[in-house]
Amino acid sequence: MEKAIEVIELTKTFTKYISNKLFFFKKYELINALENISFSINEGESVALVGKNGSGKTTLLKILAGILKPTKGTVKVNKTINVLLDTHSCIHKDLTGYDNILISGKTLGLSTKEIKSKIDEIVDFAEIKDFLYTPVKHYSNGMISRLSFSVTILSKADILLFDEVLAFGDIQFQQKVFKHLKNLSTNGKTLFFVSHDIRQLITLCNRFILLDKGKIIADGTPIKVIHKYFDYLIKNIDYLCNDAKLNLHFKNIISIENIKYQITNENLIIQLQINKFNIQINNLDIGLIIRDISNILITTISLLKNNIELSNKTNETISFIINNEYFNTNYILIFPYILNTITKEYVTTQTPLLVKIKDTNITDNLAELYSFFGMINIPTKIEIN
Amino acid sequence: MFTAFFKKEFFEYLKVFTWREIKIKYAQTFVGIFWMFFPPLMGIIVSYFFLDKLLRAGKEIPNYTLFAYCGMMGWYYFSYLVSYTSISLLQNVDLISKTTIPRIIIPLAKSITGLIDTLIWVIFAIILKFIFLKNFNISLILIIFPLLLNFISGFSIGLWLSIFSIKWRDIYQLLPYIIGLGMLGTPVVYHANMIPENIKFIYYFNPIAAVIEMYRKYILNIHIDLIKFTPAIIIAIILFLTGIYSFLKQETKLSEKL
Repeated sequence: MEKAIEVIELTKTFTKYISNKLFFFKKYELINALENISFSINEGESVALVGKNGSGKTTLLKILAGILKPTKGTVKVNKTINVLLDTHSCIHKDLTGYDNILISGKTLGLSTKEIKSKIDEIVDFAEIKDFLYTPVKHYSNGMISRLSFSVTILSKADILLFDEVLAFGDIQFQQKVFKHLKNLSTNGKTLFFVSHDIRQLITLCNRFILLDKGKIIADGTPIKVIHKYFDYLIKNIDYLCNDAKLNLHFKNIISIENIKYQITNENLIIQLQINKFNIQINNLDIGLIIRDISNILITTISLLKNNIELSNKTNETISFIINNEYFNTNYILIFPYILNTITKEYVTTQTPLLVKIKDTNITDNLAELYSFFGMINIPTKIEIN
Repeated sequence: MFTAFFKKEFFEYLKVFTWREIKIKYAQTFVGIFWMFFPPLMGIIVSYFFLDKLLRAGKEIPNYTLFAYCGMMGWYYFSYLVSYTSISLLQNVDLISKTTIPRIIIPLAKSITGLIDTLIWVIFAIILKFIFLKNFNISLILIIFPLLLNFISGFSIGLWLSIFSIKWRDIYQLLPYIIGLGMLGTPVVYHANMIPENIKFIYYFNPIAAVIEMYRKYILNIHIDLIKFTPAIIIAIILFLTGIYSFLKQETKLSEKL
């Protein structure tokens, strides 16, 4: 199969200013937005490029489109290419929807005659028929994005690049976009997406590339790359804690002050340090709410349910032991709680404890991947109303 | 590198983006495109009522109204090109950094918008010639040469300024002074005879001075030795060709630097 895009040892360097002076020469250093990356894309492939913010995704897209030139390395694009980087880039707010369609179509290399002959098709797709001759400054952001995307349906390019353009519009419009993109893929177009919406990308793309700090970390099937992506993502989520000192106070009666966990081959052991300020601790239950990474409830475990009683000691440590086999997911979020069983007053932590249960055994089990993202219904067939 | 300018797609781009510039320029105005008539009408009012009748600035210059009008016509298009071409890249950062259109289309579209305005000036100049000189001759067709030189000199300087401004936006701070001092140093509303002889040679190196004198020659039918302006014409052509070459070389860096 012929290669549509070939990237060979690509490096892209930018200037990063490190001073905030208003005059004369500012101090700067050079940074590599992309560092020695190589990959190729075959004709007809649909590829998703994922990574954290600042990993170099948009830079790579701009280089493939020809907007930026590489600092080192080569990029060979063997077919015609169009890019949609930003739904507002070609739009001028003083011009009408009609005018902006002509301009946007022109930036995609279409002739004025072609655009004018297909204007009705574009307007129908964008659902802006009633506002076609209204200046775009009176449009909502959603209307502008729909307008901008709709022009791309005329694109004749063999390769289409999309940067974060899957998330706008209502469900109906998103389905329309999705159907159109699926048609393009079926018709042999090469598609390249940058998005943070993994769920949409799974259904559109058969190959994922994970970028981090300008380097390719993983390249392959969606499952393989997404597991790796989450490893990176989760390490950097500030609101989650690993082995942290989570404090939970219930009135001035009782508190949970330290939570630790330990994973053995068979079990997950979670220890809570309980401090009692008031010896009257009747009617209290302490427990754990356990959710998966998509925040879907897995289970709750409590002292009462496990017939564990709190002693009269001022401080004690209690342990919950859960068999690892219970969890069919790689990461769990643990929220400790304290509940007054009579008044039903309840407190829990805002910040959960993150626990990595196991390393992934990579399979092609798409069902597992969908459950990983809390997608209960696996879309085996896309139905458009 | 220069062959791209002669392709059909290039002219299509130019047509669409020039039309875009015109629509943006007159968007949300009541009078709309009729604002094009305002600058030349103001030129006539200033040269006839203010300079000629009130200040008597050209009491020794025959047909002073038309004389001053020709100067203002040349200077209008030159200053339009310098101002709008130099700032065109900054005004269209999104187009440059997120699309693949040929970047030179952006300053070119601005310059053609100014050319359309200037053609209105030319039409008024012909009308004034008919009113004041009561004649109309075929040599008026030669006005295309100063018009071309007007474009070349203004566009090249505007393009060079836009290239410098990619890295140093200090240019925009200096621009009003460049245009103001340039107008004083060019015989827009005064005769070249007022320039002292010991520095008059500079005058023959000034491309816009050549433009204005050519307009006066073909509209007023006065004798002007254009051969003396050969250095100015050569400078304009060199600046134009080197400006386009330099711009096209920088094209791929524009989206990083803007």
